[in-house]
Amino acid sequence: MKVRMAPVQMFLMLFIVQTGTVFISFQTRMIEVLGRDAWWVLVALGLLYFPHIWLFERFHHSFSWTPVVSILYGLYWFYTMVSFTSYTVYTLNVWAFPKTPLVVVIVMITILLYAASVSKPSTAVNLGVIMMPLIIIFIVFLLFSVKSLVWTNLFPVGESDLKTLLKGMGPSQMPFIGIELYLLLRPFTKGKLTNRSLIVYSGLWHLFFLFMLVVPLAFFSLKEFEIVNHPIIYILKSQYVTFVERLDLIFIYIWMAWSIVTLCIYGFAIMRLMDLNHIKKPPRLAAFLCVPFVAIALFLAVKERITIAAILFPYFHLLFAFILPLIVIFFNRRKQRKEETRP
Amino acid sequence: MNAHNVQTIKNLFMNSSDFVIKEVEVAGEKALLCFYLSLIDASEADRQLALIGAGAQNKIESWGGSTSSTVYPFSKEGLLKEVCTGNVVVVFPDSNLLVSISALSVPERSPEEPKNEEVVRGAHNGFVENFNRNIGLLRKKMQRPDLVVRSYQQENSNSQINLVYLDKAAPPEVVAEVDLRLQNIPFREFYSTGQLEDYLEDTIFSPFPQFLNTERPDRVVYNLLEGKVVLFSDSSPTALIAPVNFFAFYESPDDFNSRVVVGSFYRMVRLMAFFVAILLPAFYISVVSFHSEILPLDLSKHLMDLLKEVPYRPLVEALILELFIELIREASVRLPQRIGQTVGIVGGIVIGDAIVSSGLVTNLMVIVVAMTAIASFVVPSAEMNMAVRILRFPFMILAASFGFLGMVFGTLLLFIHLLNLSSLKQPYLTPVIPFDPSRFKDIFFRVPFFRPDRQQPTFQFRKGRDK
Repeated sequence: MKVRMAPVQMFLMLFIVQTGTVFISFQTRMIEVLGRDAWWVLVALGLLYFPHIWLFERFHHSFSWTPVVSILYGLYWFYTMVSFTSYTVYTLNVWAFPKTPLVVVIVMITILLYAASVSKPSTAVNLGVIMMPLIIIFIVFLLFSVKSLVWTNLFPVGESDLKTLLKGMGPSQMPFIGIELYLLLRPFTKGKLTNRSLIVYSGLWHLFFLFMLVVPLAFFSLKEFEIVNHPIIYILKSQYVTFVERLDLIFIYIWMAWSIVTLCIYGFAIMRLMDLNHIKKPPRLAAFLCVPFVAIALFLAVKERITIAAILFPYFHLLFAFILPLIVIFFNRRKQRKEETRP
Repeated sequence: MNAHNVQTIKNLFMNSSDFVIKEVEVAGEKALLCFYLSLIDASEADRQLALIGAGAQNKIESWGGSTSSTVYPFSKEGLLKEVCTGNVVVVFPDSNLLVSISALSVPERSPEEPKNEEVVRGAHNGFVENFNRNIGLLRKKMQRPDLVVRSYQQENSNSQINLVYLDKAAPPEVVAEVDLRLQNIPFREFYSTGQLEDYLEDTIFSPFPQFLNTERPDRVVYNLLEGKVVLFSDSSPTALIAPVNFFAFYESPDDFNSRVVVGSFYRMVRLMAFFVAILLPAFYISVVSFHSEILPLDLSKHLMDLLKEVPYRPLVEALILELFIELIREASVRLPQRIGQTVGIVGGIVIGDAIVSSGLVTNLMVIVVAMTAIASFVVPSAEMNMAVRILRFPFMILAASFGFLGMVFGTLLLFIHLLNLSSLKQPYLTPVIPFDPSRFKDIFFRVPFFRPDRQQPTFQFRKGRDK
């Protein structure tokens, strides 16, 4: 199946995947560990995003999707999808519809995922576009809170020692999850991408997550983060507007749609892996995968298991965004050089 | 011999009682005059016959050929075709010739404005049930040689499907695609353009139309200029325009006749109406059934007080009213205008008021359903209007079952469906998806037409853009 996408479509997919589920929760763990230093740590780590994506751009030709690599990434993305689904339905259950059985919500999400996965590739590629007006609405809602922000909450900084900083590296990885999709999506975009486009995308990504971190940090005191799991939702709940009583309820459904689109893009990635490895009848396999998907997501949709999944994510991210690409690219380039020097 | 010929020809036409065959003499040669009495203008036929006779008498070489008549070697197929298409045929058994005289006369209405596509300002004419008249209306507006007509003969019938396009504007791949589809239709005897649509559409089971139906020549003209192709049958006033995108159904010929600001405003109102028509009842049901805490407290309290007096669940309330509106609409569509208006007044005002007074539904539900109905009628296309009206029912059921969750589920499913949809292989949601900034503004704004040389063909993407 021939898939083609414009650079802007690829970056939009990457943005939706990276922001989708995690942006409402990554702050709490980071701030719990790093305190006020969380924001400058994110500033510093975010600066590494561009070199990371630049290296992917430079060497993506040398990353080949062999069956073993595809299986490993396929399992990782399946795990990511399941974890994100569990987290999403759990959060929705707490905030929005406590009486609806979790299994019903998971099945509904699975139906959407399946529908998007077996659709034309362009459907999943373009599904993120519908999120754009919603993202703008969400940011406008969040900007209502600017008058309540206490900017002095951001200071003083530099209180964390080296051990704390290292401990904070784990939760700080959450915004970076999904960057490895660049390696899969990039070949569908023809031509060379300029550094400018990479810088613009990195900048937007960085600004978005910084905004999502700084606003809660300036809104709540550090002590409050011990009891606030979803600071963004709390901020929206506390906003007074004339047209609705509970702004957070509108937001939570925007976030749900955002998360589902994220999952659809992961589903698209797994379907492309099947395609790259010439698996016969991918829709049938996708339908088969829906069964364990529902079962595992339902199993994980408990607070303790979600917490464990969140702790594991940075390690998986390290493996699949750094170590595995490094190994695959290194061996492929060595192989290529050997072939070039062979008489 | 002639008696035998007469009987043979009569048998060819199944001895139909409106088929006439007469023995005549033209320039001293015996001939048989064949025609359907129901299809011809007798005086015109007599005049042409006299001219042909005079030509033959005077030994003029092309005695049978004129703008209205043609001479062929005789064949049964030729005779059948010519008579069935409304021509008068003169058969010369001795010389084995056949002269076909065009003298078609069928009852026709004048090209008046279509009742379902009226405009405030602009041309007030419309297509009729005759393709030649219709193409005449187009050629009158577009006096250019690259307006091409291709005709496709239907099997088992002499009626035709006509493909019309502008050679310089229509993308060749679109023309080739329509041509291929028209040639591959296995059985091509249609009695409505809707059947033709069924054969040509990309996704037949979608509620969304993939061909724009119109009876307005001006609408066809601006679509031809945008590079679209138009299909006519020779017995219907409806033209089918393709490839179209979703937003084309929200454009009205009025937009181009009104002021730029006014046209743009109403275009945006129509687009907003799409969301109102589909989502408003579902939103109301969600709010009152599951999420009343979203409303400001005073409104929420007032609403709850109202709901206490109604014995039914909000979904049942909404279904009662929606079905009632559909009944009024369906009843008034086919009734004479005056009776239709009476049905509307009796249905809308008298029964509507009685329903509220009897406590079957709340006032607020009446407002919601009435707004929804009005929003659905804002669409300038009858097909899209029906799609929108049907779609609100599954949304209402989802909202009644799961609240906002159901609405989000339904909306995402709807978008997945729309993203999968195409019209003659062109994406349905273009220029939003795939995004084309040069045409994106046209969705919301009626752009000034002061640079017609820069008119953007609808489906020409910049190189490198994804389909």
